[in-house]
Amino acid sequence: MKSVPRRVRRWPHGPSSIPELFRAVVIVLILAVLIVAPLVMLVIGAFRDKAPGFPNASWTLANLAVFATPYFWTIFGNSLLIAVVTTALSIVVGSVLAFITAKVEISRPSLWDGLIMIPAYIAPFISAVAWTLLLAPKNGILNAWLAHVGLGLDIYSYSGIILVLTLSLTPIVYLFIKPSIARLDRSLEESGRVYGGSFGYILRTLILPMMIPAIIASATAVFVLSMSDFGVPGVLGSPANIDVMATQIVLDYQQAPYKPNEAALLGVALALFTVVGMYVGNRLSRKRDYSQYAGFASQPSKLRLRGWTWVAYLILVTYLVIGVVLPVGAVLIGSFEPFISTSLGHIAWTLDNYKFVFSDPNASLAVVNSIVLSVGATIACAILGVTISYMARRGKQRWVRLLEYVANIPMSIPSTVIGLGLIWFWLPLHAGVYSTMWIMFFAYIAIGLPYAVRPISASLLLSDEGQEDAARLMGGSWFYTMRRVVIPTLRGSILSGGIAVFYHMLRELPASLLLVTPASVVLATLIWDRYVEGEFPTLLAAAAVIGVLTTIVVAIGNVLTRDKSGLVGRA
Amino acid sequence: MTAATDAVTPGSAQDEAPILSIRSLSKTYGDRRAESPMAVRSFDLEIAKHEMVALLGPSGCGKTTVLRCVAGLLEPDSGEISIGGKVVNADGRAPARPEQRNIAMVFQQYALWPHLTVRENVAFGLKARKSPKALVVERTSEALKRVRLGNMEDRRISQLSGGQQQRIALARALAVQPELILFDEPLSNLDAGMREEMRYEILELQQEIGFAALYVTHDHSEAMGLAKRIVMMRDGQIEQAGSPRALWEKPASRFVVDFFGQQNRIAGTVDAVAPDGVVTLRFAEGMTVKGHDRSGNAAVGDRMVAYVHQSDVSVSAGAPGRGEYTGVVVLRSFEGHSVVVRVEMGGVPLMVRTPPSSRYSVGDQVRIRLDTDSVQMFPADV
Repeated sequence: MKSVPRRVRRWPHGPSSIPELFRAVVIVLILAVLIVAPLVMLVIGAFRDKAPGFPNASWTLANLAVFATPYFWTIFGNSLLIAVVTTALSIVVGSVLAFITAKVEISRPSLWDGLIMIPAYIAPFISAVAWTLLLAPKNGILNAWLAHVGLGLDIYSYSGIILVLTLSLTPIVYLFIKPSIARLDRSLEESGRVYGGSFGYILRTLILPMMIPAIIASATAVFVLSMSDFGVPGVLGSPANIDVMATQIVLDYQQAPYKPNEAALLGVALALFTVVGMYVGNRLSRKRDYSQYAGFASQPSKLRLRGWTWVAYLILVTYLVIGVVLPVGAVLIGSFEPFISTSLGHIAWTLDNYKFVFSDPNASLAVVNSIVLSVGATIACAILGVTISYMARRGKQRWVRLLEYVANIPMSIPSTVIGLGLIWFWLPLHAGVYSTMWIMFFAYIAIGLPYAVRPISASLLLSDEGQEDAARLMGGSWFYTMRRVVIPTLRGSILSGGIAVFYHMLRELPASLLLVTPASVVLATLIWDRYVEGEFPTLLAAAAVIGVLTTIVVAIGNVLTRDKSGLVGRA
Repeated sequence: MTAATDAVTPGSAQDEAPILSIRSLSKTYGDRRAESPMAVRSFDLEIAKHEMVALLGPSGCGKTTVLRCVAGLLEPDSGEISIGGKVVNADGRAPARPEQRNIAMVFQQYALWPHLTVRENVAFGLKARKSPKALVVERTSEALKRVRLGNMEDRRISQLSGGQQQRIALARALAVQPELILFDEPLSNLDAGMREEMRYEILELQQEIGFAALYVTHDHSEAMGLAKRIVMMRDGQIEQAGSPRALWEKPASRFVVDFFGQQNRIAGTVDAVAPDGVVTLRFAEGMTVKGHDRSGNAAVGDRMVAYVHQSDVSVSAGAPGRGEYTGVVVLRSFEGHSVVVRVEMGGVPLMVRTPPSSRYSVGDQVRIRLDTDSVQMFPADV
């Protein structure tokens, strides 16, 4: 089809021009400093006998002794247990929700699509804090009601951690599985019906097997995220002495007896586990990729439940009440109270908590820092994301494609580990980065980068390279072509990637907690400190500020993408 | 092969009962537009045993709607459908589900299940019907042999070419030995060469096995080559039904001829109408053409259009005789199996398909013959 010899100017085995080489070198350096070097230093740290930056450190294998302690296997077992159960539950809940909106005749299915995604925008550790208000053993609001029927739930438990993580991660499963059901070519299912299968038979022999790749892919993502999560076990596990790998790493580094090398080793072990998990999961799901059998714009056939439709609505509403209404309500109501009351009967409404957040020097600094760092990381990730994706997808050399893999590494590595790696890299350098806002900024870029690279790269893969060739043939330079052709066509994915970077960094806790200094305090660490001190009302006001900022940015993003492309949000 | 029904009632009455009977089928879509495309209005059709009928028409004419109603994938608004003597749709009755209709269907996008092997795909219908294992094995391999893919049983669908996939889909349909096979544009996803090969394969299998079939297509040559009877549809209604030859030689309307394509149109005024329906049309000063009136009410002075297919115009070198015309070649295009020339005849351009051996060049004077039997007269657009 493309018989015109393209890129005749290119060197056979190298970049076509000095600027292209220059761009590649700059990106390699940035990725090396942000991602590769910190991880390498962390691995080195795991086999040293002194804290980062200390002189006279030497090599040792003594740290490995931690793997022989029963305590390690307890926290590893806890992490694994929580991750496995969370994954299983999220898959079940997410699949049921996806099945309802894709296959059952309900009104406004696209509205439900939006509503089901809301929990993804709520920071898991804030959701955990909200649930302590609802289900703390003695004074939880829900427990006060449940006491009337002789029930009492304890959120400070394995089930509590799993509940909150499942609620936060279910939207990811939904996002993966919904298209695998909805976009399944209608004729595949119809041929099943014509050849004599009842609905149950088709579900079992045809629809479920076709969902398997999406199930594996979402299980992988949920497993890695729940294994890496710091905030939820941090909030709910500590009072019940449930420690996991991610929390233990922070404890080892920050609290006496300080064990920085052991922290590094645990970080390396956890990262190895999640990276291998991600790799295996991706291999398995790619082995059976049925996406080429997706239909185009064909309306999927829907199941009429006749008298039973209310069951579908009941499931959807229950999910929304537990996943959104209860935690958000608890945070909002609590943020307007002078002290947390266990009953909704007598609330003394006040705005003092919000006044505090915007007037207290420390808290208002956190607001400013959070916004500055998140916006900065968003812009940096968008620029890097476009450049890296473009080089990887359009470059002719194999090695530039590696850049995209490197940029996506932080996706499968716990943020705690990335934060720790940055410390091991910058502290010994004495470059004026450690213990400043800069190290937080670097952490945010590294952690946020995959959120930008993934959508941009996916959209580049789909867009027509011929458009760019045409622009170049018309005499456009590289920058002109980028500005007038490439970036406008990627607009939607840059926007959605940027939004994801923004709200994920606005709520970033584990790396921030490791890197924060009094001058670089952010909202997430402010909330954490207040939680540790038991200062609930002001904490909730700060959480509400994160929520409002996230809502505004996501809403603006939705309006912008819907306006222009006409593709987003339409079935 | 519907031997089973013969065995139950050996009488001849059963033999003549149609396999498929559709009576006053109507289906409209809940559209704001009153005349929504794809709607079907009071449609009737019968398909006899061993008969292959083609539903032909442009997209949106309702042919697929009819097919999907027969399959049970769509519920008609009103009308009755029976398959093999069993009523599957009737007013005021719950429709039979697709799996209760004993039919098979070959889809445009093959609709093979990618997570199953070739054998599992073909066996699916038999397994869903809970046939005994031995029968499943026997019929599956027999069906695969019939489409000459007996050696591919354990392949995955993704390892097959488009043509092979459609043959597997055909085998899947044959394996259940249904009363009726529905074809939903089965060849339109294939490239031109494969399309032709598959067409003859389907025809051969139909002659061999004698299954009844309803074949939906928008390709007139496919419909003509395969079906004994063609039902041409337009806007949800039957425009013309009959044998392929009847449609070709005696098209009922301009819509039908236009659909066949490659037509020359000569507009003019009626000079005379003979009692046998032959119309003399004057299209230029002193020039007339004769052809059969297809409107049935042509009158002297009417504006009409004469249609003649490109291959029905004959040109040759030399001076024109009686009833022939002179023309000048203005365009020539060698296309391998034919040479297409455009000749100007009294200011009217005619496209003519000539044998590949013909050697006309632009500017040549030629004589043109139009055979009265291949010229169709229709009223000009009002």
